[in-house]
Amino acid sequence: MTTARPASRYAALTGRHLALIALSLLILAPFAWMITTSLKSLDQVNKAPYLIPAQFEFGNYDNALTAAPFARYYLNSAVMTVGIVVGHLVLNTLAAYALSRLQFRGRNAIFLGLVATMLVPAFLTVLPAFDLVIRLGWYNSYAALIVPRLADVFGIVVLRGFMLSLPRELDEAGRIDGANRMQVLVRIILPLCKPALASVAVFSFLFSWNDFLWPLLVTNDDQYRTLQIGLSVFTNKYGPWPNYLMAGTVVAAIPAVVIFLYLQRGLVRGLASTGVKA
Amino acid sequence: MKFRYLGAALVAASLLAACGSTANPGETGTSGSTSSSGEASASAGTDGSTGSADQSPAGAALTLWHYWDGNNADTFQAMVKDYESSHAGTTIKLVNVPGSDLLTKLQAAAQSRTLPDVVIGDLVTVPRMAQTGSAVDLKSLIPDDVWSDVYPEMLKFGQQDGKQVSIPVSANTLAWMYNKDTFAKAGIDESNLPTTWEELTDACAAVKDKTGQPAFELFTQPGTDGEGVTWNFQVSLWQAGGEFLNKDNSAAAFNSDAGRKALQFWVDLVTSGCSPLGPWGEFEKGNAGSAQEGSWMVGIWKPQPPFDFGTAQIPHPADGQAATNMGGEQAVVFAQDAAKQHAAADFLTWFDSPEQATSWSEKTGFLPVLKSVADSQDYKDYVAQNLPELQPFVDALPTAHARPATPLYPQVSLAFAKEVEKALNGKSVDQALADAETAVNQILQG
Amino acid sequence: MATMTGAGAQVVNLRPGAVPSSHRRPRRHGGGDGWAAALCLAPALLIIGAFVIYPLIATGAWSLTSWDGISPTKTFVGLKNYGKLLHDADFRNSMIVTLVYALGVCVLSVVTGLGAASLLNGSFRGRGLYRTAFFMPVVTSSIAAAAVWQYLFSSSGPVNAALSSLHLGAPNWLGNPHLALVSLTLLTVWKQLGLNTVLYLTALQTIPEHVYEAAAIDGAGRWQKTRRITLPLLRPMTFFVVVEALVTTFQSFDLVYQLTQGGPLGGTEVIGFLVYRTAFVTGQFGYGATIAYAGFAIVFAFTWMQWRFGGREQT
Repeated sequence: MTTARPASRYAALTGRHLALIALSLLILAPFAWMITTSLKSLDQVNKAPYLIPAQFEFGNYDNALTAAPFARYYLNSAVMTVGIVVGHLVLNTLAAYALSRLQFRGRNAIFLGLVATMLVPAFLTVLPAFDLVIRLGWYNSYAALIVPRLADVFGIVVLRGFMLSLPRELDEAGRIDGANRMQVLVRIILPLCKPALASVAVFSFLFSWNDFLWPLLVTNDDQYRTLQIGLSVFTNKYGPWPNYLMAGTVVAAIPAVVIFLYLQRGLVRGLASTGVKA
Repeated sequence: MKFRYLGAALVAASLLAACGSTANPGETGTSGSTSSSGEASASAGTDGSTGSADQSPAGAALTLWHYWDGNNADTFQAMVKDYESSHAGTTIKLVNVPGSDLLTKLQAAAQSRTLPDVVIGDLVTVPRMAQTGSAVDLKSLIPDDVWSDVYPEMLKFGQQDGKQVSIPVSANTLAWMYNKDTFAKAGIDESNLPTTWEELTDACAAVKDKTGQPAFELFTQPGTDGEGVTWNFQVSLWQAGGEFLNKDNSAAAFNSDAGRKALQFWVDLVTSGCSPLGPWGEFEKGNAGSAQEGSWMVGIWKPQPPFDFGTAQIPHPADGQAATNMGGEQAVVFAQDAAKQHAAADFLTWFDSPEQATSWSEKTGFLPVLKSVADSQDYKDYVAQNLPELQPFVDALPTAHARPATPLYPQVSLAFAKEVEKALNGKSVDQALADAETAVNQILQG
Repeated sequence: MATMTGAGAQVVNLRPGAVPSSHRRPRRHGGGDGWAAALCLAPALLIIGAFVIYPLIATGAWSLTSWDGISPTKTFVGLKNYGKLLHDADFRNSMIVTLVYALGVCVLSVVTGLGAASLLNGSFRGRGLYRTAFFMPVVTSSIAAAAVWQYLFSSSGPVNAALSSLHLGAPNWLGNPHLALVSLTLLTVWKQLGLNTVLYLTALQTIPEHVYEAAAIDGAGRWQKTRRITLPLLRPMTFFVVVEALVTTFQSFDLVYQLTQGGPLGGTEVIGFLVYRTAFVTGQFGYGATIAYAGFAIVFAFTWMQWRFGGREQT
């Protein structure tokens, strides 16, 4: 309201920044260690300086990159992740719409049933699911990596929750104008769901990118293996050589960070464009 | 209006179908060979992607799982290529599965009837692999002269109802590895290393005083399967003259004087600070003076050792005997098709012939599974010249004991390891062994 | 506004004398939106049904057997496994560890997430940078994160080096069962912090400014605004964060597998890890399924109670 900021506001702002910087440093410290260690030679590893190495051994990265076909692993993780994220955005939205804004018998029962499955640990369902995937002829393929995870209850819960907070009048208005239910979804509800959709996209991306057990079971060779599996082998192998291990870890982590930076802007835009007017 | 989303549904359905059909043809085969265009072999003629029928009278397309990596995997790959080029008609597709996940994948494969043709895995897991019911009896498929050349203890793991379902392909033993710098600082003379438990305990004090480090790292946490603790402890148990299970694996045998003596030794090492109490790895990171390590470490560390290391026999009690544990990999054949079985057996025979076994051992640091190789002058000269640190491991081969061959072994090992951990953390030795015996007997007797 | 629409869904029905208020949503043909709902739900339900629900039932069947996961035959043993569970000290330990772990993670997730979100709420320069910094652990693979943690918190690692230099001692983070659980909890919260922050940020930013303005006009101070407006309005999100934390801890496997393998002395043997080890490592698949089902039932009961007695969204 006023153009001149009172001193107390500066103090508050500075305080806020200090707190944020401290928190950020604390959170990023392990990464700093990771990167520093990855640039050290072996005999320097467990010794000071901890934050900036005395000499930079970029050769560690050479070693890490050639030890496994990282490029292929990236590609596989990327294909799988894109497939799953798109699947989630489409299928979860449809289901959430039905469960929040359409009327039909058994609606609550279905929703509760789905929520119940959320707590089920992955390895409880893994063997029969794997068996099914084999019978469908999808062993060692992108289909096996993507299709069983095209929808998930978590995303449905998030989207349904968000949709429930949108006023019923919106649907009504649409219906009066002659739109059918699908059109109501696409033209009216969806544009308002951007924050929720962005959240689902981020969650799905993370889940898929970091997934371990399932890709391990359904892939058999480097042609379809994902990044996490390659990294796991790395970890077992390079125990006594934390510098190489960290180089590999950094190599595995960078794209996810970059992608997040990209998605993060979308997240912000989504948040800013919240369409619900009070 | 309703047609719009019906249309969308149809599109989605056809997309799903398309996903399914891009999977490779011949996928629904039952003998476990998965076709793929990423063929690892370079043999002439067979392209390998059009199914599993053998192309020529004496060959087949095999799939082989193993968990070797790094240098060992490369060496194995080269040998396989070698075999393929001299045995036209057989192609072997190698699949590396991380060791900790091998049984998981095998379980999944067994359940969905997509077992690979050959699996090379840890010898302790052979009885479990045989539980699939699909392991092939190799006795008649592999010539007798191979069987008689293999160390008999190693064969125990594959013996089941009169059948021999596995054949060893590599071996390792435990010996004593130490950090030369640490020992030097502590004033321990390399030509006069401790050889008994008592001498070791004395050396501990010196190492602690002069370097502040623990002298002898024990495996004190069971980890995922307990085997790290169990297989290391068994060395001490056997050295003290004890046994782990009885002859027919129906009851525990470790709750004996020898067992108590061995466990007390371990507890004393921990309470005196001679061994750190925490996750395994301090010695390998250079923070402890020595540890029991496997022979594979020599091969792995040789190109780039984290520090200057030496090897020797593990100290045993003055009134006990030399003993060590034996590990290694063994091959199990699952292929049900006769042609594939013969092809697999042929490869394994070739692999376990003296010439190949020598070359394999020399390049990887694995110990030979054939007595003739371990005793040959060629091999001894090679080791002396290139991997002198390996010699104590080779020398220990005759004193190596086999662990019990029972599919219940993982449960037994875990239950046992947990009790050892409790003893190391304060529980009385007698109580820990008694509780371990109760638990193990319950597992074995159902 | 009151209105009538031709097909199905109606919020308010003004036809005189037609429907009593207890039937605000009359249904025709078993649910007016039946067709549309079926089509919308079908793809998701198909996937979830085939790859989650069917396997869940199949595994449930296996919990009634003594199957080892690898033999071709499964021997039916009825409820014997469940009986065994009642005497299983490892299972009891695991439930306690899991619940303590879950509690720690839930509380810390809410506190750190809300705290960080409050700091980030508002527009000021550099906000995006901070947000990215917080989110980096989330995008790191669990294997990598746990591997790093192992080095950081080892007895001779950097954390202890820092603590010693401040004369705060050098605890045995990964060798003491209780401290190991603390390390695991810190790792889990660290890894999820960015997510919880973003979630709370989303929630905080949907609280309209004018609500605060109105309260300010009424003379409410900052603390009152927080207590009376912010916290209650955040309840759905808090519930969500808590459920998310519960799901994470219950499923928790990757982190434990890499960091402590359930030890030492079973101090971090969360139920997820126990199930994995029982089924896949020691070859007791039937019994592992039993443990998972029993544990699942217990945790589900907790979650259900949470839902009933706090933060329930309108349906």
